[in-house]
Amino acid sequence: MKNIKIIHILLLLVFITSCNDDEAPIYVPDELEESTDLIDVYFKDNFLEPYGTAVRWRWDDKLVDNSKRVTPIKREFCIPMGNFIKNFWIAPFEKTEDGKSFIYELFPPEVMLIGSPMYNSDGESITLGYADAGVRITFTQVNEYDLGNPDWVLMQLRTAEHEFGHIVHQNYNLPNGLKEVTPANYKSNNWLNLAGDVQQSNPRISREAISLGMVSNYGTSDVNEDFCELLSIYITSEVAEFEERYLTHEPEEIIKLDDGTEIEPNADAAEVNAGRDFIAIKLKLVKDYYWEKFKIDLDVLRDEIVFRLKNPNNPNGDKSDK
Amino acid sequence: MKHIYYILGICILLISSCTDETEEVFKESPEVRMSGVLSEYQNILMSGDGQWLAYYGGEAILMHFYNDSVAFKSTFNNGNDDRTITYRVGASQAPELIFETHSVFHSLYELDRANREYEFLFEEISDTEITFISKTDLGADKTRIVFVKGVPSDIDDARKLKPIVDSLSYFKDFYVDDNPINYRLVTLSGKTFVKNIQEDGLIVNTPLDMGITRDGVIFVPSLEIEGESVSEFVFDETSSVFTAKNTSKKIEIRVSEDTHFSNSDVFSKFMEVDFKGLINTSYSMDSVLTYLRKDVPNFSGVQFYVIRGWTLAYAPGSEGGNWAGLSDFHYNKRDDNNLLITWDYLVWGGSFWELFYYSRGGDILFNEFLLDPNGIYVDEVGSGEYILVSNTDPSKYIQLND
Repeated sequence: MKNIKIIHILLLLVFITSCNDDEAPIYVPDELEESTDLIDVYFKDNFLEPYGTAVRWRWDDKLVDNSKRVTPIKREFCIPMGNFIKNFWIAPFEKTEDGKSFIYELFPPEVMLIGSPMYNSDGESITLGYADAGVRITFTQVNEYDLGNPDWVLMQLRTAEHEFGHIVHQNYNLPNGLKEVTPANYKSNNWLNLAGDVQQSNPRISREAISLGMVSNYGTSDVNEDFCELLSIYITSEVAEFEERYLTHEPEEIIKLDDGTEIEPNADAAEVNAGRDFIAIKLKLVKDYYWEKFKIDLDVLRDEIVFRLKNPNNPNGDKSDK
Repeated sequence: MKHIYYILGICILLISSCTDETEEVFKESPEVRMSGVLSEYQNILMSGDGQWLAYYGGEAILMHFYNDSVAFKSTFNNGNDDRTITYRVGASQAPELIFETHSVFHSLYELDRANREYEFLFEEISDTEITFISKTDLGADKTRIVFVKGVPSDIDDARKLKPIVDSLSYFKDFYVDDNPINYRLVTLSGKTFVKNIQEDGLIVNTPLDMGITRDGVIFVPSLEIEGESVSEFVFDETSSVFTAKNTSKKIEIRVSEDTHFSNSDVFSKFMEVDFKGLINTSYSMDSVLTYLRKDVPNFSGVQFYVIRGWTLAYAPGSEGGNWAGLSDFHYNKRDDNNLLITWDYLVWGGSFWELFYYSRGGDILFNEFLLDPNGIYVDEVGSGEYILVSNTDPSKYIQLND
């Protein structure tokens, strides 16, 4: 019996020592040579070194959801798009030291540039852009680059600010109390059924959405989108335009003019005005949140952005001359 | 004791079973071997003069591969989409050629997102020919594209030939050893197919890509005609005949300008269904849709109601309604069974009819085509699918579907 035990131990030792993998091939990757491509050099100097952000401009299908159909950016638009991001998105924040800190902390580590619209699996509808887990923001339709086209400029900037909003709330949570303002008014995917009676597109807006206390139809999908839509539309809109649409009450009674003409109010005026009151409450919460957490005054930021939108070919111009 | 011998025996077996003398199938790691394959593929792309020619989406595309860039020269869009861009030979499911920014292939894909692709995996590679297979095509019969050696003059010659081929008459019929067969080549703007009327009268269309070469056309995939696989044809402009290369029989596509006569069955079928949509045009007529897209906001398409006599433009989201156009057209059968469309006077409807009618696109459609007193030949090209051909200029034709 004792011998059997000894043999068992011997067997175990044999198992342990009989096979070794000292000879297994080890992969030693080639040393990477730094690219000298002008576009790579530009993005390294302007994004990677100052912000730690890798800009993905070379086509890599692994970075795109395989249910989407897209095409790559045109080479000639890579650097102009980089300048657009710097001048319209980053620079307004960097007007203050606190804004600089905010950008250094939260600017996404990865930005991807896509040339075409991002078509969904139905082949027709498109996704404007998205943020992946607070890490990567994807710009689409970059091949339509045209600073002279206000629709394109606003679409790209609002997409950036919207997705940046997601990164902010994913890191710092939503403003306290925001979830409690209109908790019963979110519609999940039913936001797609809302009309476009205020604005058809970019973004699509209905009076029903405003009645629910949101600034766009998409904002009614959930509280995170509500926050990002309110933020992105507020800081990219002129004061008067935003106030008239979203804050100022419209008449709820018949108005009699001096010449005796009577103007009928909209049938839903009371509901839309109630929604405007909700938007005002949320806007104050968002403004307070940015000031208290980051010392960023959204009104000052908004003025800087709007100036640049009005002067797309001279975004860094001196405002005092205007 | 017996057990001890058994165990010792097993022990000896185990010891002898593991040996360092096992021969490795490959000396390098999989990563090193893959890296070697990719380098080899890139070297083949750059070998010789590094110039490769491909036909895709009806266009000839020449690529000049350098170490870290590729220069394009193509027949597409008069060369306006030709660029020098970066590329890499990478590996995902298999070795693949990746154009890192937008190229002619992407432009062609954007014109037909449902049927084209721009991501290709290496399938077969030699010094003179490289076959790629689509990475994204989900069908069983995957799209393939072949690169062969080429030179810039291939594109120059093809560019000269393209407008000639694009403006040929609709009537392009196949002949084998001088005998007509029931095959017709139908070329539309961005789309080509071969119509075959089978013995039972059934119409079978075979879609294919037709690329313009330096001296003719090439079909991808190849056509099967009378047991022969035909791909390349040489064009003789004087006789307007395409002759197949490398076939034992004489296979030709003869282009005819002659007035043809519709049969009465086609006219009857055409008039059975009131509503028809404009699906496509010949190259000579494609300016109709270009002008209408430019002149009519939200323009989506043209609709014909052959019984009610309406011709409408559809522009969803337009103020005042989605449709506008003209009415009181009459579709008549002439004695030769051709179609004659008449219109007594201007009757309009919808908010944007003037944009439609007075657009250069509307002018060509109505006054230079539909209302031509010489009449229109009607060809059936499938169930509920028709081609209307101008008798005055048979290079002008449009495709309608029920």
